[in-house]
Amino acid sequence: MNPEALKHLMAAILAEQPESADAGMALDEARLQRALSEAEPLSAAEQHLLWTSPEARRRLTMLWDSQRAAQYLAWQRAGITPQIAYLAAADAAVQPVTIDTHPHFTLKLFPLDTDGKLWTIYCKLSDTAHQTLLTGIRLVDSGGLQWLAGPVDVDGELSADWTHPETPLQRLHRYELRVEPL
Amino acid sequence: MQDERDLYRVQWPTLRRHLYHLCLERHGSVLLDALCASGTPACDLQTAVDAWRQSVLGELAQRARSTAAWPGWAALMPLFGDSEHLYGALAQQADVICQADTSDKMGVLWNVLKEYFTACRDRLDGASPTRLQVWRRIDRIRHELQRQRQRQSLGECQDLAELVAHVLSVIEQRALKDAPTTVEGVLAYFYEFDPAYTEPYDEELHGLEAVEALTRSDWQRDLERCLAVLPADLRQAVEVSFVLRPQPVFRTDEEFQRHYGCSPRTMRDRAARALQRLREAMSL
Repeated sequence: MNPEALKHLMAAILAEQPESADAGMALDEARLQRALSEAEPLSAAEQHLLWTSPEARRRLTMLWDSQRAAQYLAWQRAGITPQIAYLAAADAAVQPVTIDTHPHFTLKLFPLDTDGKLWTIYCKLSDTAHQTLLTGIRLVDSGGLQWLAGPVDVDGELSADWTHPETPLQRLHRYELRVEPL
Repeated sequence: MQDERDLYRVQWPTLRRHLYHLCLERHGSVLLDALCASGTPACDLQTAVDAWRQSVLGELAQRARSTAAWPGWAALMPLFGDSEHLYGALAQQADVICQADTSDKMGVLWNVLKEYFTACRDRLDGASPTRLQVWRRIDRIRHELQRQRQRQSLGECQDLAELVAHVLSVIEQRALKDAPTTVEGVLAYFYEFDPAYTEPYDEELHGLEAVEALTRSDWQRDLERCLAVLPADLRQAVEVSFVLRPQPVFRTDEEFQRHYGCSPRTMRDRAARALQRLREAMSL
């Protein structure tokens, strides 16, 4: 089934939900803000409320858009661009790769086996990028695949294991990388 | 209590979505059948429009009366008040609506209604004409950015947040008069005017990513499970209406009927019923 069409269907189903003036009041801006910053994740009941209250979802969307826009603005003011220029060779060997073409985001790809199926992806932020951080970040390629996502730790680092059937080098041969606010 | 300005501006995509649902999904067949009785525009267009408007307003009044009703329902009712404008807009486009391909009819009708409702909204809240001028400047900045990205082979910027940040930094550099000076202010313009938010459900579609980020629901699997247990005719209606699988395009209602064994109207009604069932069945 077409995943984009499935998203449209889901949006139509959510749009069918009844509006109510009071529904979703428990998820006010302050509560959603704490959840977005990962200081206090939503409980199961709150997650259910978010899925069932159009009002709460509207509040979240506005907050999410504002927060991400504020992060992009902070990066612009600090001269940080989201694109990471790097193109892997088609026949790149399975070995650790360091991508240090961006002044603020350094990526390291570590193979965990000789076949190049298992990898760990590691991202280190410069002090400037770390100091301007308002949200978590995610690393995505221009093919739409998310490589990393989450809050950056106190050392300005973020890492995760690779879970995609294609290797990161195969992706880097075809796609470009960019960092986005989460 | 939300004030009308907030409802008519910041929440305009939501109001528009409900207008689409009420005017087309719930009552649109009444209008289309009367408007294009035999494939050509009806002679007595006003009677057709009045009957349709009465059924929409009846449902709106019922929703607005309930305890703790969402204030948006009451805000929608005055949008049907300018009869002459509504008759005129529909009369002017009746030929185009009736001659549109079966699958496009609702879309063409919605474009006419959308324009009418937006004009009506602007009259009702006494929108300052500078708001539209400011949006045009914002839109120009957006186009400049897209052209620049094209020259750099970066592809179109589709991230609303990135676009808003860029617009705001240009506003600051050029010290544009009357322009918004906060991310929330620029965002409000995009919510209100950006064509990306003028299609029904786009608001929910845009918000889906944020909801996914804060919840652990595997809604795709849940939705596919619910789809699989729908009766065959309702499942087919969803697959056709949302193009879940590739579908042929038909020029006429007859071709559509020959292929699917039911009229476009029946298919739309089934899709509406299916949506309701899916909403009830999903364990969100």
